[in-house]
Amino acid sequence: MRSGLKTLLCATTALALAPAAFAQGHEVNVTSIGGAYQRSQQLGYGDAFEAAGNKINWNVYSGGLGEIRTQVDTGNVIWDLVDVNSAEANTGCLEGIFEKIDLEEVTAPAPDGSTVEDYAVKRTNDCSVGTVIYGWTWAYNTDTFPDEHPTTVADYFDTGKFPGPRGIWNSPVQAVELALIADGVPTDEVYTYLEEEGEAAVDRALDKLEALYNDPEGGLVFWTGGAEPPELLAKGEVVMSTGWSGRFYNAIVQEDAPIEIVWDGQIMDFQNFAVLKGTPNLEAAKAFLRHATAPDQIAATARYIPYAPWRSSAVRMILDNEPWSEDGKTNVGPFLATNPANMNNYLEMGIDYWQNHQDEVTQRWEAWKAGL
Amino acid sequence: MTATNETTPGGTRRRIRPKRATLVGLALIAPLALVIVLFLILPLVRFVSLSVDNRETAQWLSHTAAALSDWHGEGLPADDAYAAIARDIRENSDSTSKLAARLNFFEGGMISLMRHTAAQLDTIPPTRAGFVAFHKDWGDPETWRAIYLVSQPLLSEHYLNALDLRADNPTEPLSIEKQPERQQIFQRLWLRTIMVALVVITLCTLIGYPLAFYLSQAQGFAFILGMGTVLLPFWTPLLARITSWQVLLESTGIIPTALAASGLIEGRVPQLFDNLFATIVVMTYVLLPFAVLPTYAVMNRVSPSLYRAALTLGASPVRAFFQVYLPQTLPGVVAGCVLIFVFSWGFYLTPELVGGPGGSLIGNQIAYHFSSSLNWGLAAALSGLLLFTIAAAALVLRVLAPRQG
Repeated sequence: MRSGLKTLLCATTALALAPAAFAQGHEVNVTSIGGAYQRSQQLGYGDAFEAAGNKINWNVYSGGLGEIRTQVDTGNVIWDLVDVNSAEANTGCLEGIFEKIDLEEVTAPAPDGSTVEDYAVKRTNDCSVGTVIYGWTWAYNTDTFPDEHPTTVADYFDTGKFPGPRGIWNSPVQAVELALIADGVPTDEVYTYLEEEGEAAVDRALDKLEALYNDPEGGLVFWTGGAEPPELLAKGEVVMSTGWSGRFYNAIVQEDAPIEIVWDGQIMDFQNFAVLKGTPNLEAAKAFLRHATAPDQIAATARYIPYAPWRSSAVRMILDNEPWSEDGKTNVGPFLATNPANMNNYLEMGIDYWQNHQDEVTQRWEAWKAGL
Repeated sequence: MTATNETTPGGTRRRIRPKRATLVGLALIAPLALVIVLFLILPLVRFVSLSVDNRETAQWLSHTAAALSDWHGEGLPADDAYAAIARDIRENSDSTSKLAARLNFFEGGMISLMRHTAAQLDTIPPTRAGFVAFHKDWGDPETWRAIYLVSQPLLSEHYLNALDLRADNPTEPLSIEKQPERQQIFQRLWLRTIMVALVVITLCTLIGYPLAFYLSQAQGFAFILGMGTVLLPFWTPLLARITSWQVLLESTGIIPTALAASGLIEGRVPQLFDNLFATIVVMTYVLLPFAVLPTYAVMNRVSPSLYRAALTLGASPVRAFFQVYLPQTLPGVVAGCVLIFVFSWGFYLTPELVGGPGGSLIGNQIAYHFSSSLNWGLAAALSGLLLFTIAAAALVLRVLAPRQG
């Protein structure tokens, strides 16, 4: 027992002394969701942060708050910063597993000197710091519809004008919204309608989807992984499919796939950084946040994936210096979810709605699918 | 075991000492028995017990359970139940999200209700009026139905849900009613699973019997070729075999393209993939060797002279087949059918990959509730029902099946 205490004491002392060893630079553990997205973060601002004498330990996780809760609850915080969507950021902040962050303190000024007001979108809690915005979109095969092509959400359900099977994510998120818009619910009222009507609204959406599924000229193919939609479209298995804008962009730009994104009915979604409660590296985390959200740094991530920074000055920087893509010839602007041309008929992800109802609606979705 | 007397060929009687033989026998099978108990029986019992064992959750609601003991399952409980649940949430704040998830299995919307309540607990007066004023769902008897169910250490609701039923009054286990129509999925899936199993058994037998007969007669190269065709798929990974069917059946695949090009079908070629048809075709393909091999093994032992004797005695070839050959080979067919039934009953990978929603089976729901919705209780109840059906089917077959002489 006594020697155990001694070891513990030694370890604590060592831990207490450890930061002193990195007095010149910061060391910070950053966890994100992998893939092309995390690559854009590493190349966009990660490398520059390290070049300035700091160290980043990158980790990958699959989203969700489970691991974060465990770390905070057990007092064993290994990750300092995590990349979370807005629903997770709100929940985590409410539960107290994220540090409250003063946005002013971690925001480097834009070229015109503005700081917090430079954010085009207001954050929805006191903990997270917004990074980039992406779109839940859908796309069609340009070989199948070379002349008259789908342009509105209604066209996604119109098998008379555009026959052929459709791809859809195996989840009620986005499918329910699209079905309601196509069924006549005004785009900006979709989530209020869902909140007010509850199960009846979900049933209305599922009926609309079921009609499409049973239509001999239509049909639904359910996809599960983000890489599937471009592949299904390119192979001709489906004529249209929902999917994430970045995935379609990669297929179009890098593989020259015959795919065109339709932005009508896009659902805009927001990514954030949050700092784990009780992290021993709070100052390092703040220094990283100030660096990563600086306009030139956050803008650089869009070279590698076409996601729009929350900060207006960063978006201006991208548009003023096209072609911005890493290949040196592709304009990134047309692929940004926040491009005004892509925002004619859009809605912002219903963070509150899905945070509260995802489980029950998913159960309903599964029951509906099993009965098809 | 009883004492046995054996007569050796020499004619002298030798007595085998029973006790020692039993001990040696037991010692020899002990490692196997141990492995079976440790790695099959125990995990199985543990998993199936999840379907009724609710002690962990009940522990988080101990005060509520006490306060609800005099509630009759109708209307709203008294103030003390509201005070008790406030106390339980406060004392088990670490487990609130888990508790909310389990409540949500029985009543949609409980996750948000519990989360909001837990976050604002200090501002809510611990009375019925206070809670109902905070959120209207606290005034819904369905909320208390879910809380009552989850506060009991033993739970039968998962088994009811697995059959599209639910307890109307949670305090009376026998007040069973149907689930709302939109939530009924399992009866349909059970029927579909049984139907698919029967169709696959029939197809496998119809294709497998002639194939096994051919193999039992074939010689030399023809035998090697035939046996190779049956066995080769066994040596190929299941995943590769299933996905190769995707190449054949999907709408831009080989078979639909060929059908369209041949002009045999006018208009659009019907969908062959992502539906029940694909599930049945691929399952038949995957399970065919289990019909061929046992039948072949039995046919090999059947003496051809019996069939010839029947012909010599004046039976027509058809009659000789049905009265002499078929009854002798039937044990092989039955063995194949039992194997296929047991396998197809729990099939999950094939429907998942080729079946789409219309071709999914009960196994897919078990996988979904086990790995995605994390409703292990329901997954365990479904698995339990699956297991009981197989056991029951095995018993019935044991009684009905023809015995080999």
